[in-house]
Amino acid sequence: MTEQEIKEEIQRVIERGPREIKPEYRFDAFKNGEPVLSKKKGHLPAMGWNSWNAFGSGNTEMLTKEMADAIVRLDLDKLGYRYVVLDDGCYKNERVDGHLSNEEVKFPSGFKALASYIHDRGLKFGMYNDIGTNLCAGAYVGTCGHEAVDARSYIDWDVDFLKVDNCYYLWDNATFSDGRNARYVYAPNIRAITLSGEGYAESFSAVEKGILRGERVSKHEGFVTDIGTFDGTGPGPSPIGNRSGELVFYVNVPKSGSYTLSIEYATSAEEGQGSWLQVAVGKKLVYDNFVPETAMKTTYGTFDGITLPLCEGENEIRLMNHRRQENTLCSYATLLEELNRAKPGHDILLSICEWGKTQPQNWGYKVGDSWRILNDITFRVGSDGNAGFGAWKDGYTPSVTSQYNKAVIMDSFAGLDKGWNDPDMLMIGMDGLTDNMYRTHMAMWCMMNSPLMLGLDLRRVTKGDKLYRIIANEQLIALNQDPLGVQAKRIYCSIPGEYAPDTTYITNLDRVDILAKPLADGSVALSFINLREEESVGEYAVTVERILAAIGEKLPNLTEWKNAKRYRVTDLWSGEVCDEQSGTFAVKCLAACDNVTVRVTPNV
Amino acid sequence: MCELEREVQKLSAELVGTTRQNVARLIHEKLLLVYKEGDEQDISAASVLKDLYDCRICVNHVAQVFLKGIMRPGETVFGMRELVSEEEALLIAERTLKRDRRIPQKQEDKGAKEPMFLSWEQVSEIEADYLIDVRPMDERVEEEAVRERAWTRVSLEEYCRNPFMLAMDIHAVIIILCENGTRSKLAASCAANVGFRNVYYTRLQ
Repeated sequence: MTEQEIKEEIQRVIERGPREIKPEYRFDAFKNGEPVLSKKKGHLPAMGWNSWNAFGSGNTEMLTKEMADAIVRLDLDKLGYRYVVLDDGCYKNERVDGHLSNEEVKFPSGFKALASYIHDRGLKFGMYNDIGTNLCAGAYVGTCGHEAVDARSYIDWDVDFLKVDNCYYLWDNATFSDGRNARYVYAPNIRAITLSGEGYAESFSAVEKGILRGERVSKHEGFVTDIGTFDGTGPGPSPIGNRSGELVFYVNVPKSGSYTLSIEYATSAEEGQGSWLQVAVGKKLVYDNFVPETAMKTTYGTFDGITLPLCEGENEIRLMNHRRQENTLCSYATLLEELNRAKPGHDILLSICEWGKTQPQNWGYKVGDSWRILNDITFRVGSDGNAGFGAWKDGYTPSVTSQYNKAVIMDSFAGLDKGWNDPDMLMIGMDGLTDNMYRTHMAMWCMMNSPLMLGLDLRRVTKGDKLYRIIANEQLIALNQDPLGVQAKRIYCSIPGEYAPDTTYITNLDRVDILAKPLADGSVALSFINLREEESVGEYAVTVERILAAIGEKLPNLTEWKNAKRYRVTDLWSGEVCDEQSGTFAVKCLAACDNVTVRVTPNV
Repeated sequence: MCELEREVQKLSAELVGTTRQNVARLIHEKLLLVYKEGDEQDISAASVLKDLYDCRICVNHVAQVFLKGIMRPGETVFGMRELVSEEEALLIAERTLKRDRRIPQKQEDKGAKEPMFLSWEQVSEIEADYLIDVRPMDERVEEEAVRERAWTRVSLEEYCRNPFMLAMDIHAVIIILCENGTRSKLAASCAANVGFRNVYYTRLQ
């Protein structure tokens, strides 16, 4: 396909608009706990190597083979690192006869041959694509509209893992999409509604009679705005709670029947004000489409093309737009649907990479095995001969702590029956971070059940060296891969105040956190984490009571814990074992950005 | 024409009609591979560009050519997908090859800045993106001076836990207020510590 043909096809997709959303993909079904399309669950976090942080777009077949060989040579496969994933930069810039194909200079033998090479070493093969029209690096080969043919290719190439990005997505104002696409993800501003029918007519001012449900949605002079889901790509907003807003009216009508709804509204194409409206009576969706655009964002028009079936007495009328989440879920589901069609019963892991934009913690479990929670952990990836650069802290997302601060309060969204929060790939081995930072990065990701995707050139690693001892720490990996499958909970934070440490979003790094993670054998992992770039000299402690109050119900041996008189404490970095009888676990003097991570086993 | 001028012309011809994001990539790769010029280490000042993160794979390329003063099409927008004109291409090529032609980075753009105290008179002279009042409720006497502008009230504790709670752009201009300047100073340093670069504090008394 030529660039022109691709552009024409995109235009046709835009004209068709986003797909109709099936009830099981709707916002109202997000909390039902049911995956769709027979998505298999029960996977522990994926472990492996991904080409992006190490080599960016410069990855090649030769390098990938060397990484696969290194994984085997270093016995990393025996520790669980099994997936070898090609990130962006491996395809031809355009489709060939409508199909994806390999960039021939970098990947001369093709993907099927590379998959065989990787499989022959007992490893698994992962690839990358995007739900938009292009990949992030620009190639015109996104899956949008090509899901069936691409799914067939991935099955033919024996792919075991797919990371799917969100660049150039048509229905959201994502990377390089048309800025006007904001019109898809927010409802118009609403001034009033009028209901008429069955001999009844009444108007309701949005400001005076409307009830705001959720977050951000707000009343201004004469109108309600911000009806939609807000963007979670950046480090500002907490992931906890309702991340969207609706305008709700409770109306009493004299008798059951059909009523006409007229809406006074103004459309725009900017954050907070769009053109797509959803109207529901209770949970019944009655309208889900654009409304005619108004001349200006402050010029109000009337739309009365909606008929509402109302019951005698009180009715709940919801004006909303959940399409930001629903469209994205639907796009990932379309790809899964086609993979299912191409190979029924497959168990390809689906790594959702929409950067937290559409709050995937609410819906990711339905189709995926993990979901990225923020924009990238680094924008300064390496290349052959250059380790790339990672940061400990940053005012945006590219740092260990930016990702950790958000992921650490997201344990309630993760689990074997759901999937995993993904704070992005590991930066262990990159420039810009100290050894303590590497160790703490590893401990954090293991405690949080994050996917462990190595992002370094493994030719730099020798068995037993400094990097090896971090990435191959069996005791830490055992926490990440523990069969109980529970993400650690933050049970203490040294910043004073009355707040819940497990759900409060904290970005201030002048602190020490303590995380607790229940394990299948009845022990508990504790991690004492110094976020400061200087030593924390005080003593930081938690009691058994505090641990049990936070995670007791997840422990298989709660009674044993309650009756225990002493505890065996194993330091997972030093291997040192000690006995603790006080029921208080404490650490004194944590070095800058360092952690102490222990496994506590009760002995009655 | 000397050798250097010929090189400038040649490079310039390569850039004309290409998108700015691609030019940034091309120039940055040339700097690294051909001219062996290392990267700027702290690229946080480049996030003043509103569209910096629009193209995730271009971030470092754009940040480097921006901070090195080679490409500065605007001070707050890079214009990722706009095409480079003949005139701009020549300028970029010159700045790539002749360091003295580059626009030097302002000292104040480098690294984090300590929050500054503002007197009440100075506060009214500054156009702030966020005015934050961290006085506890029982101290909140509504003085006329405060009522003149819309100050957002938040508790000091809550603000210090997450200074991103109101503003996400670290270049936003923030002024924080309290009764005697102690709490506002503390809040301002919390904001500066997480990366905010234009934070001021003030007091009522």
